[in-house]
Amino acid sequence: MLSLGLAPGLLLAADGDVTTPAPAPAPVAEAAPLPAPANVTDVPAPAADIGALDLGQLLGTGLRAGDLGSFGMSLGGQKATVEFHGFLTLDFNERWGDLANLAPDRVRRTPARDLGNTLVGATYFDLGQAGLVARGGIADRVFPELAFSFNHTGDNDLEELEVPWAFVDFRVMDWLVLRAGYIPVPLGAVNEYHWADFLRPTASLPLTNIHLIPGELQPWSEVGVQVRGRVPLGGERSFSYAAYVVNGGLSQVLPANAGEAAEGAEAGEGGEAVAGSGPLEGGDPADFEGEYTFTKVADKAFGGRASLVAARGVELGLSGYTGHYTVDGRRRILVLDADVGLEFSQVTLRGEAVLVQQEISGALVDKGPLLNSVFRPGAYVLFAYALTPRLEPYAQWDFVTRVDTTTQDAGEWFTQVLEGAVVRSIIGVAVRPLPIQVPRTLVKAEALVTTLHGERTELAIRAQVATGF
Amino acid sequence: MAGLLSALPAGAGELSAEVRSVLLLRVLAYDRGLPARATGPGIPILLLEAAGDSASRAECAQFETALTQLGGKVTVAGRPVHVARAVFTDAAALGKALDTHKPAVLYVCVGMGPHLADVAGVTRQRRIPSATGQQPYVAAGLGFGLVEKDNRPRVVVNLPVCRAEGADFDAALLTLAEIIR
Repeated sequence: MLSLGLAPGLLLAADGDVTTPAPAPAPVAEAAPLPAPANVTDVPAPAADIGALDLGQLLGTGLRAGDLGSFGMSLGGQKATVEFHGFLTLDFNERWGDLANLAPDRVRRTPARDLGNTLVGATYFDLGQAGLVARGGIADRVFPELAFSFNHTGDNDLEELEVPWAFVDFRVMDWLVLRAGYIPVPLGAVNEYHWADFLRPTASLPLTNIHLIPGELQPWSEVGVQVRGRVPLGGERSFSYAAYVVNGGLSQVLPANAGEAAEGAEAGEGGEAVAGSGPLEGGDPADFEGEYTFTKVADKAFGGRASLVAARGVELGLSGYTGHYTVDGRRRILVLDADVGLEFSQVTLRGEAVLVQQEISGALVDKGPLLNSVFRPGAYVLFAYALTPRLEPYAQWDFVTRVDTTTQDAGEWFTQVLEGAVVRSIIGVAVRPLPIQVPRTLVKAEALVTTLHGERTELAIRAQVATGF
Repeated sequence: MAGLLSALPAGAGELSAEVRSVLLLRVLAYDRGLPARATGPGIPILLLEAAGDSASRAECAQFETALTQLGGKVTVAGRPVHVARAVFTDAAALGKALDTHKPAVLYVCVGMGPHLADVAGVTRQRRIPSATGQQPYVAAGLGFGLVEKDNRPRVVVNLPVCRAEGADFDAALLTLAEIIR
């Protein structure tokens, strides 16, 4: 018996028997017009439209040996919409002062960064972000999204080809979406919503999204599952949430303070490169890399974000993440983030406060996590004012620092905060040449002053063209 | 959608009337010219059999039953399906029948081999797509066919004929069908 399945509940079965032929109808010259219902509204509506049936499945168009094409050929029967989008950023950077990254324990990857002079890499173009995003919609229920990016072409210390995210959303209800895949971690607002340059008036990511929530190369993403959604609360108010379980694969793979010592550079001074030294823990999250062997253990990472749109243009968020961060899976990391966003009239005010706690092996191992950790607090505040739809000057202030609580003397902690603090001030302007027709294309220019404990200072200017399409 | 079209048993030959009915309606839904052609409240389908041919009459009857049963459960582009049969005598009579019924598609049953040229001439003149369950008929000048190959159902589209008959099939169908250019 050959059976066909159609919409749920519609199962037809052929009995395999030839039906008794009906009496032969009259020749066409005498045929009566097609019978039609006296009133179309009298006809009970059938259960489903044939257009919902997947023809590819009907035809069994799975790939077989010798067939043309790849498995993609079997997808043609779906009524899916596919969109392609992208983002591009070109930076021009001019830097004066110590070229080395001013975070005290940041690993240097190439000799160029060890040379404290302006002859190497102080003036350069950088294709900061270049990404292609494919997004599909199937039956208004399933929404896969896949991105490719090749960021920082021009800065060979950072240049990488990446898949920054790849996931599928299944919309159960507007307030319940199931997400699975390689998911941008909902920590704060920048990582998930403002990472791409065309989404911010500023040319530079906050320091918190480089050294605390690693996002210098791409948004921090992890493999796992997530539930998310938005619940309207009446008027402009709403509550949004995201909760997830992931591998927690982003981990420290380079020893802190390790790397090749540049010729002539002093070792051990203020965190400069010392070849081969340093533990695989307690390092700068900006140097973390993803997916190592410990990700296969049962103890996963999890977290979430809750946000409240209290009024139009006012959003408050709280988020957290806990998981492992060392390649042996033995040390945990906790990230807490509070974010606020205010957008009204011509004013944009955004800020985040972040606290990272990294367990390390310290002398006080029996004293609990508070005295056995590296803490990394940081924050950023952005103020932008749109003088006109085209012109938006802004100012941003951010800082990150670290303190190792394994030292017994609490007074030393304050000293560490000061000595390890990287403080940056930015003033700039964003220009939207065609604010109505092309709202996602901006030209920006900013000046940055970055200091480490007031002693080492870097001045820089950055010009940027950023577009989303 | 629950269930899939199961693989045909070896040696099954032609597709069953039920399978063809599902495929016919599904293919029809891919025709972007359908709304302009079928302007009434329903989607009319006309089945054409050869005069005095019992095999043709049998296929026509089976297919009418299968389409009618399926039409009671599904719509095409949101509209119900209506099925009628006709017997071919000559091209002029066929033309009058098409003018009367104004079908969205003319399905040509087995046994119409000697009359294909006449049928094709009329359908192109009146821009009504033609379909069949016989692969040779598609190569000979009908619009599209619902056939069995390698134990799987297949849609064969004679693209030039379809265009001449006013069918404008979505690319999504054409990527799945076997195309005769």
